[in-house]
Amino acid sequence: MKIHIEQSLENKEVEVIIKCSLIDDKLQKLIDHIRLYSFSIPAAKDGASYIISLEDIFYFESIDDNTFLYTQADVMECPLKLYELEAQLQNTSYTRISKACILNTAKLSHVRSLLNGKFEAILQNGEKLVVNRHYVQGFKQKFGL
Amino acid sequence: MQTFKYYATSCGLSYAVAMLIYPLSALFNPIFPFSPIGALQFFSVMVLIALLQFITDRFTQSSALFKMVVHLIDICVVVFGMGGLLYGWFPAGTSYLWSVFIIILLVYFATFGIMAIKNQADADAINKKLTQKRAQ
Repeated sequence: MKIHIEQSLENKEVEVIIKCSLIDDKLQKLIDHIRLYSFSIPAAKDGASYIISLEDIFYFESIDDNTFLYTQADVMECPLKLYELEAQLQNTSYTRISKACILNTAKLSHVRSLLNGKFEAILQNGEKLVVNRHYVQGFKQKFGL
Repeated sequence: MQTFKYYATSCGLSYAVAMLIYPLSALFNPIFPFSPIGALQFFSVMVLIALLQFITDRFTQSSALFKMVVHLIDICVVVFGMGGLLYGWFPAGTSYLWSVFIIILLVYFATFGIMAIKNQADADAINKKLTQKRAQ
């Protein structure tokens, strides 16, 4: 794979062009990663506004009609609804794991199968989330199963 | 769709396990005569169990153990109601009812075990992929 980088002050925006004959799994992962890098989410905490990169987010959770995003050690409020996020994050490492939660599988440490057909997702920061039976199939598909 | 797939898989698997136990029980116990009609009746019972489990699952969001008990009650209601009263698979004696209950437990835990093994295999495959990804 050849990589051309054109660095110039005339470039107002970062632009990535991929020239290929076929999008294979490896390339698809690279595209997903670029998408993740280029997207960011507005968030708020204690009255201050932040822009959080998608790659820093562990998961989104909806509680009482409010959406929260969770990073390594922080929780912030997000103005977007879960269904809006789900639509925007379709081709990324994010996947819906329950009615109220969207998980970034890139932040997953390991998984454990539970007896009731659910999965337990253990994140890199040690947090544990439950993948509901309804979403298990979609979760597995993220890993090509 | 995923929900339907889960109950369809569970129903199909239970039917397969039951169909293995059914002729065996017919060999050793004449109260369950094996017949093509009986096989179809079995299928209708399995479908109704899946339907009842789907409905009760809507209302039970508790622990795995509680759900297991509710599922077993669902099965007993359909098997004793539909199989015993409607299809007349077995007479209403205590020993017969216990035999049926033991078969119910056998089928339930065999199905449960197969599904648990499949999920464990999937979890192992995901963990392997995560390890490979981290090594890259």
